[in-house]
Amino acid sequence: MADLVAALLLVAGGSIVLLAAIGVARFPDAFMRMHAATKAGVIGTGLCILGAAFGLGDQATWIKAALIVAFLFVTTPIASHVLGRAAWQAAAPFVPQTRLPPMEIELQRVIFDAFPDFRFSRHRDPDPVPRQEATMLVIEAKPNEARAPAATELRLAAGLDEVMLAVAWHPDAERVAALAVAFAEAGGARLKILSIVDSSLIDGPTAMPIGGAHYARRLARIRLTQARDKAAAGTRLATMQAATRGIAPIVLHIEGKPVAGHFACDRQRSLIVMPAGGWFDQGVTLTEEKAAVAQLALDATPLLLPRGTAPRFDRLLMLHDGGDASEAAIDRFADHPLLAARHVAIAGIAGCSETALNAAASRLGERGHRLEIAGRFSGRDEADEFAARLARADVIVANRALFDASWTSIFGMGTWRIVQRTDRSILLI
Amino acid sequence: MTAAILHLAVVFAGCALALATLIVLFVLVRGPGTIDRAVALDMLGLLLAAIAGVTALAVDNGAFVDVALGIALIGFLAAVAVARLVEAHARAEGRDG
Repeated sequence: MADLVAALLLVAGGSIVLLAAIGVARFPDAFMRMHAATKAGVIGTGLCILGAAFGLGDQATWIKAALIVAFLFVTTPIASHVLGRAAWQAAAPFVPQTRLPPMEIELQRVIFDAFPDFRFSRHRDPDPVPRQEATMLVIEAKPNEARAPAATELRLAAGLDEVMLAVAWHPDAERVAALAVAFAEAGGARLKILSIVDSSLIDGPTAMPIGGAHYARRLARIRLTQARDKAAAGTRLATMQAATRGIAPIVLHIEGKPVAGHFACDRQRSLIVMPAGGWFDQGVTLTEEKAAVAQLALDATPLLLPRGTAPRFDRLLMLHDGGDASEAAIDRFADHPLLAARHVAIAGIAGCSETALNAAASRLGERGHRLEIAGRFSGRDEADEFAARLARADVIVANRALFDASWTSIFGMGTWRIVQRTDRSILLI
Repeated sequence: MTAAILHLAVVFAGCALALATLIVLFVLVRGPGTIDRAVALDMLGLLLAAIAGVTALAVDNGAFVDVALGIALIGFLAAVAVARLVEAHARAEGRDG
């Protein structure tokens, strides 16, 4: 019996030690290697020693084996801690995905390698990456320099009442801010900068392992700080852009879930501008794709999502599915200053009847727009044609309900996906 | 019957430990950094302790368990010493640079 137990312990111990060794060889950075070496190593070694004690079975061996196991359990955590500390101080590289709390102040990191030239193979660790700091982003301010490329091309025939810029962290945020300022300047509108931190996404309940609550709270705190800093940086950026144009913006900071009330405005004479693919978690939790979905669900109109390096606003393509919601939206939007004196095309999609399309077109035509009927696209086989037509427009104008309704239906992959792929600015009405 | 199973298990554990030792030795040479080598050294200490334990069973001699105890002690001290060395060097270079 004791032999069987010993055999079992030996097999288990040997396997675990082997796995630990493979982990030490294969893990990408020093911290993960340390994790494999010490955690799996101590269990595997302990099992091997216990197996030996079971196999030999005399009292002296048992006492010594118990001593070894107890000793291993006491010393290995200390050894791993000391090694991890040394790895940190010697600036051992992290894999780029590592998330860390700011610790720079407590322990200095200095690159140290005892044998810098000694390389056995071409294998290399990832280079040390600058970690994301939970500190204020520093943005270079050039107050006396006009730096809005879109501004010169922008013209508005009629005045706007209000331009709202929703601050959401995105690589394009600066360009979008410049665009919002340009719109406000061209339309003579007041500029409102909304910096929202969607804290419900950041410190909301998430799945966590037992005992992980402390770290989850800590992580949420760090992310919230990051999101606030990014929102503040974005706001500062937009304020500076406005200052270069001589506009004094109204700045609002809100924390919590964004609701329609935050974006309350006169729908026919206002414009809400937001970077496409940004969201109010300020880039801390959501991927760009998920952020785009959240934007689609946001109850704020008319919402302009500019894309591309130099977005233009000359050729507008309106999508109409013949439904009531879409029709009402087109009606409501027909008098918007953004439409006036621009080339407007209207296309029917998803079973929009000829009459419905013509009715919508004539309603727009009454306002004296230069109107073109781009045709009807309704089936899977017309998806390419549809994409080509979308690509010829600068801005794609649609009611968001239209995307919800035909999410997966008509073109086999969802209208929203096709519209997203064209990389054109989108205006949700 | 049980003795044969134990024999097989000892052979298996011996092979696994030998393979693991080879892998860890490879990491010890490859690095790529000093601290990776220190980690491999620490792991090597654990491995040697395990090997001593298995050897005690293989040759049916309890004295090898004492060897395991000694190696476990020294392995810990070695890991701490190497870590202190790296820290001291890093601190010294930080002061210089």
